[in-house]
Amino acid sequence: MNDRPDYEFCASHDLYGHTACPGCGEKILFRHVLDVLGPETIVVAPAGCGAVTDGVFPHSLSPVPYLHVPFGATPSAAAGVRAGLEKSGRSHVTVLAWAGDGATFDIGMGALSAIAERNENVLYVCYDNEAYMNTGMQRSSATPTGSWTTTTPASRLKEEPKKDIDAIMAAHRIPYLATASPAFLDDLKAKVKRAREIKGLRFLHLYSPCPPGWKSDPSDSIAIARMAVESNVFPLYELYDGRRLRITYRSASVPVAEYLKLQGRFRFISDEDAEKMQSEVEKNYAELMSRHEKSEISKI
Amino acid sequence: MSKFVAFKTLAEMPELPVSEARMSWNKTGSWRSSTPAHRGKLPPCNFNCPAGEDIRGYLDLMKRGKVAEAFNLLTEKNPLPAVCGRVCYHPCQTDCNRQSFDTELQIRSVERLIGDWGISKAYRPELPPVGPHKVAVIGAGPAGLAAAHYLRQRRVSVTLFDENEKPGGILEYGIPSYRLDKDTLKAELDRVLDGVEFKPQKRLGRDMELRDLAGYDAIFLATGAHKSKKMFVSGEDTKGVESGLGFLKRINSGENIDLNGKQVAVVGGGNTACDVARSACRLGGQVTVLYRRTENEMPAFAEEIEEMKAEPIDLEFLVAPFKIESTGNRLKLSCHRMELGEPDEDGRRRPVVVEGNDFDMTVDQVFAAIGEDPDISFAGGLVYNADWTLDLSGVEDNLRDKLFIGGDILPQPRTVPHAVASGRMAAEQIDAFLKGVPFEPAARVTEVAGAEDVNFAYFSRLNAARRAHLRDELKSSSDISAAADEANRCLSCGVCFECDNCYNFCPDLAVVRTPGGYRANLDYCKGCGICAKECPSGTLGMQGGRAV
Repeated sequence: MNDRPDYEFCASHDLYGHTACPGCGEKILFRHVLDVLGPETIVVAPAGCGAVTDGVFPHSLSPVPYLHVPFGATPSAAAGVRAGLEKSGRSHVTVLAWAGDGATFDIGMGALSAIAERNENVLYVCYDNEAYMNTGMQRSSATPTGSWTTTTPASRLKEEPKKDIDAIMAAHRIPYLATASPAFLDDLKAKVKRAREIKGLRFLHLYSPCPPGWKSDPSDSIAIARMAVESNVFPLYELYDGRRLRITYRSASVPVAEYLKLQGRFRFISDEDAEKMQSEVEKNYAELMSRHEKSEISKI
Repeated sequence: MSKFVAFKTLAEMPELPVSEARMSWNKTGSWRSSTPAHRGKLPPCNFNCPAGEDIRGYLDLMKRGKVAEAFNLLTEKNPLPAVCGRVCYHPCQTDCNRQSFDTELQIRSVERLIGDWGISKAYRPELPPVGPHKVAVIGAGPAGLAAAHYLRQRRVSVTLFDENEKPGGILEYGIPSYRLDKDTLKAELDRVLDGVEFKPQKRLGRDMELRDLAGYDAIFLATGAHKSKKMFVSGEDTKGVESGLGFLKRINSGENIDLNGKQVAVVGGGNTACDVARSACRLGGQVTVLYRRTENEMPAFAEEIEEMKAEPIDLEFLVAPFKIESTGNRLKLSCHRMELGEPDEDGRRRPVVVEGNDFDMTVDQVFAAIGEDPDISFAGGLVYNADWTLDLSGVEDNLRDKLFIGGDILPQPRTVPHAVASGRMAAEQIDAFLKGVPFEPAARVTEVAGAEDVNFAYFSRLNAARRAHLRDELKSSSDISAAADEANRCLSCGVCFECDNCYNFCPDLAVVRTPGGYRANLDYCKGCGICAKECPSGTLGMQGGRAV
């Protein structure tokens, strides 16, 4: 009964056999982003889940060129690929930087700031699973307060709040920034489509559930992703030129506790920290709402 | 599928680390410890429908705007949607999984709107030509109508006999017109009896005998239950005492009855009592319903009781008349006061007389509506056993084999949908008999999809204001688009409606679309279970083990 497209890029190109864990959020995101972008795409990927699950040498999951680059070099390498494409007259090809939170929030931060400042024509996607998952779940600056990781064990949970990468990127006044979630695929695909049409640096912050790292049931990945949005822990919005903000999904504002309880990584969080998280989330969302209402594009 | 590439020597390796093949050789299905599988559960509406309608099926068609298809699917099991959409006690709505979420789907109203659509369009499915077989159907009530209709659709030539002038039985002569208007009934019966020969005023045992029908290849007997039970009180044959069903039949036959300013007592607590009380009230009577137990024990359907209570009708509970005497042109009704004692065999508490509390009331008219029994004495040779099963040993041999029985004669709940189902089953059975093949009723799925199977994250709640008015709005609506809107609320419990969630959310692309559904590609399915958890209707579940 759906208006099913007759052709879907990934389904038509055997995106099978990857080595991602059962219930992996990154792989759900990858197939849908690639479905929108299509064959005229070059992926630039640093070390991370996306890179190691792409396959074992000499095999690759990806139906499009998938360039593996050093951890901190994604933005620079993507800019380089872009320059090469321009020189060889293939400017229509999309350069997709596909990096995890480690390579974005931490290790590639400097280079990312550089290409943002130069407004390089790159679509930079950060799939955020909130820690260095493939190396053994070490905390990153994307790990939220109160979360368990192997480097923030139960006796010393992470105290620092999650780095606000979106504010940092917004401060660069890039033409397009958006957050998206695998639980809201129509919203995600619409944002990828919009991003594809815009020139300059586009930054997509994608929420990527990780069952082994989050100590959650693999079948709960989408439920957790939905709850992150519904509790406003991960609100869905887009931001044009770093100023005009539009909230793309009005959440039900369920308590953050509902989100926390689905994940083992939050099992040790203190009531105090959970309450703090709730009030932080409310404050952030109220701020977003007021920016949304002031923005002239909110009526789109 | 891509092959696995292995380098045997250094020389075989490329100078740059470039991929030479894809990953599809890697059958990740071997990781799996549980496997997605259809749960095979029935939606509660389908499960509870006595007529066996595929309610979920026609709601789904309505959602997609396919009204004619919905009508066809519905009338495959029940030829009387406009009738049942008005008078059915809608058990389909009782366990609707929407109930805990906002409010149950108004399925009966949807059914009515579909039925009315069929009438307004004068919709008639094409009739197949008649085959060699002839069947006599006796009794043109819901069971006989359904049997005649479905036999005719199976190319059987049908003659339908009834003692009355018009077909419909209880629908025509029992149910009051404020519940089922005569125009609707006539229009629906015109369609149902398309191609069926109707012979009115032919009563078995009066105008004909069973043996007169020996020329037919089969006989279906569905004469119903309309012998009013006796009250067993002295003076119940006094003038002014009448059976409720007889009274309803007189009204429905067009007789002018005036009860203006008259005191009317209705004895009983079933659906007939409700109909009688409300009809008498409409004719100007001051009605008091006398029931020997309390409202909790009333056998009438809750909705009928509610509607009766909304009218100026007095309800007297724990009262049982024991003597009726004529006082000139009025009646003196002597009654016991009752109280509830121990539960009896059907679980309801037995009424017991409270000694010394008897009282009299004076009325103009008494209607006895304490239940009906089937009467088959006229059929010749048929008798009931003690448990209400039928003894056919007295029927002539050449008739016995081709005699089929259904409707209220059988010990089954006496409702229109039960009678319809019995008629339809008889048609299937007779058809098999005529073809000389064994009759095998379809196996019934017994597992029902409950609210815990549904993923409500994919459905939106009605707001409180809509919820409050929904039932009344739909009841009075005559717009087929209202039925489509209501059908849109269907959760499709336990049945796939091709939402694509399993397909879209699979990280391994291991869900394959097939015509009308999906299949798991077990070569690659890692068994994460997202598909089952995100299945809105609860069609998919996970099964332990690595099925291949």
